Amino acid sequence: MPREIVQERDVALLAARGPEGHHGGMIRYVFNTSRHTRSRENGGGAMRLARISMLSGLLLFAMVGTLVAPGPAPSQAAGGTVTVAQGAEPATLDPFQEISRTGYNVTLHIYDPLFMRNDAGKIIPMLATGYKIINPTTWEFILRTGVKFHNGEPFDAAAVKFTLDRALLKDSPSNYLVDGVKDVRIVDPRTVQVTTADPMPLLLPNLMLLGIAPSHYYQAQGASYVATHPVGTGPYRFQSWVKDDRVTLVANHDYWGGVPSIESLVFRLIPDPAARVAAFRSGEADIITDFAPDLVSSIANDPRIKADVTTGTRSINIMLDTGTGPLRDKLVRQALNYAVDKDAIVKNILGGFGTVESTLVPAAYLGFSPLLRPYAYDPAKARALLAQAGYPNGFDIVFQSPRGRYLADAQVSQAVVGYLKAVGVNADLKYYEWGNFVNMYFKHQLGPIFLIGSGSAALDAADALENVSCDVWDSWYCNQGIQAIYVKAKATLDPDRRAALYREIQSLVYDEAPIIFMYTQKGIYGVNTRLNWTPRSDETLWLAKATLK
Amino acid sequence: MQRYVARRLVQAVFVLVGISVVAFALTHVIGDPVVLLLPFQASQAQVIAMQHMLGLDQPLPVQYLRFARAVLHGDFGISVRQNTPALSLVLDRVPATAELASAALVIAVGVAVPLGIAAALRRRTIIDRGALLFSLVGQSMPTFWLGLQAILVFGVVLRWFPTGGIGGLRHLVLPAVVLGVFSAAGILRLTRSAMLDIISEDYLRTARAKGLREVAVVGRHALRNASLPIVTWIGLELGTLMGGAVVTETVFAWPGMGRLAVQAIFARDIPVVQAAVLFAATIFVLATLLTDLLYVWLDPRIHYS
Repeated sequence: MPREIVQERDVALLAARGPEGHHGGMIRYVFNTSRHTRSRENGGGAMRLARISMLSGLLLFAMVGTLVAPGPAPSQAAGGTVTVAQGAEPATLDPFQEISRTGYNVTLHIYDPLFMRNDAGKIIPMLATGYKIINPTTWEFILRTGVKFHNGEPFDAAAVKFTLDRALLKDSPSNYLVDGVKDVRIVDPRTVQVTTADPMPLLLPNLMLLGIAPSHYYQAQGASYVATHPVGTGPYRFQSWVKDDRVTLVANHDYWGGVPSIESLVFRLIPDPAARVAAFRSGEADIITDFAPDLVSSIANDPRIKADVTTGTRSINIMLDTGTGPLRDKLVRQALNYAVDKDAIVKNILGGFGTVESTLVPAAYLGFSPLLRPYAYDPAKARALLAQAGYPNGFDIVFQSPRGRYLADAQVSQAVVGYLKAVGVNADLKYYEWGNFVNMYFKHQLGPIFLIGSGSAALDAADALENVSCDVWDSWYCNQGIQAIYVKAKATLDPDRRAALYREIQSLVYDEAPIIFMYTQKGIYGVNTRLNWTPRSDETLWLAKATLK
Repeated sequence: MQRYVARRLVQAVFVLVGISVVAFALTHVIGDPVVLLLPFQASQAQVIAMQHMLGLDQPLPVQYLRFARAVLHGDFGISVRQNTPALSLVLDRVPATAELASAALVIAVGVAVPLGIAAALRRRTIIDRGALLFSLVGQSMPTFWLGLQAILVFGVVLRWFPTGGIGGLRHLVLPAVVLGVFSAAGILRLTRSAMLDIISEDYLRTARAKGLREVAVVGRHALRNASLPIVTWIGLELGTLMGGAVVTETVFAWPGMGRLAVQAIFARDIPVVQAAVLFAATIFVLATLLTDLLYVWLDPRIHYS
């Protein structure tokens, strides 16, 4: 019965665990690959699911991602203070409530997730030492032992279940991370099984965004208290928070992953971009985020500070409501893509700190398609396509844009409107305050053309491609052929196969042009040279391994 | 007098109720906090669940009455965004706001009143022209620009003061001066014109004629009579500054009331908007009441009954 035979790569992750395993040594994983054959009879329910997945061409029980051991623990000599200045402050320090990137940069140092990415983007074990995919909808996580929360509460399977159950509440802002999880079951104190309704490849990257919380502490203190008094297992303990000014963390000297080299981290809020650069130049801030591109040249002559640039994950695109008017026509949409000189916009408005994209999936995501080339700037071709579509004289349309949300968003919109006008499309540009804009976005009141940014914290193309899928509120395009591949990709656990499906979608989306594909903003950081630290391309600020020179 | 104060306080209650209704209606008109709280990946079901949890699916009048009843029990609700009691978020900002406001006002009054008097007394001299120029520049220079220049010169180049944030007295200097300059400009002009109105009055000539020293003439007779509009202006300025100085707070990363209120508005964080607006309104009402009471002391001819 060859069809019933599945390949199983049973991964036993045997980490060198316990405190003695962390002193300077590499943590090693043993991947025990074995093949089993199973018949339908002993497969049970899991096998039925397996067959469904087989139909969609799944390589079953594939290990998702390769676990890479974290680097050697830094030396025990802790000392010094590093100050990070960001443009916004966390709303709360409760990782369930706080979902913004600036907030995550703070809470990640207090709360360990089950997994994380290392600087190279590989998945590394944190509070989980490994995982097994028992069947496409059942994941088993093996937990680290001997870890304690900052308040002394032991970390175990109960904490993981509590965290996931809390995120699963429909009114939790972090619900989107675990949407699709059906059940969380404690197998034993160091093993948790998570069942999902459908195969959920994004479970693992999403879990990286969910800090594990101590259940007793949370239940005893209540959400309001916890919001300002966070307790996790992370490399830093919470010390103080002066609202709208600074959050101070101190090194956790009992950290399972080795004591951080820097004793104290201060996250300061400096909302004004120029003032943030000033604080950086004066030495008050060692690291600044969202370095304004036009100010980068102002630090050129100072050897003590530098600007580090990463590829970035925030893409800016111009959405087209493909359900109304001329935008229903593919030729018109292609024309609009040819009409806009994206290179000039990135060069002149963003100071070159951006990458023009061929579709809406940037290079940092799983599923990026390196073979596609961005639409060239070709106004003549745009005019020809418009004429071919029956609009030789162009048409009038409304263009909406937020102002002050993304880097130079208002100027970019203005430039695009100028390019559209040059090919006969008269766009009436309207600006909105961000809160209004988002409200209209959620109510599907924007359009027919509007500018918006998006980013996938999970670094997976599924999040971006949602904008061109059917049956969701944040898409203005639907194509059943593409949708079929999208649905298949979303249920494909194997990352390589999933990436291939994403690329297939992008080739189609590229031609269909349901969006004016624009660019990805680069991340610009100011870093004082007294630090040994490099920013990561995924926008995560992780300082546990940073050292001072 | 007591009856007057009591009547003013009763009026104040009506003012505050009116303001809260307007603020409540406006924050609801401009949109829903839930969509700003959730990532774009969130599902519609999640949006609805959250709206329900926050009671935003109720009719507006019901929401307002629920809010009003809670406020009467001293409960402004929990911040939608920060998950912390709204009132404590506002009260947390009072020390920083009061520190900046009072320092700026002391600087403004300390500079503007003497300069205004001098300008009036030495009319059409270099002093007068210099004072008027200062006033013009101070009013028309954008605060954020002045603030950034001050940061660059005194924070980055000279390193005399920190570039921002709250801390000791050194942190206070730059924001207080920048904010003070703007306030000073207005107070200066008003002092000058109020003094000019009085300077040619007969009783000043009489005072001089009977041989009083110029200091006494100006200080006891002229300034006291010119002080009513100046005191009114300063009272209003205090009320305004206590409500927060958004631009100065933003440039200097000062954790004051203005940024809290503006951020709450941007996030449609209705409980915090309400608490901040009502706090600012209360301070303003009290500041004007205090000003009116000061009149009695300044001008014995004024009686309230």
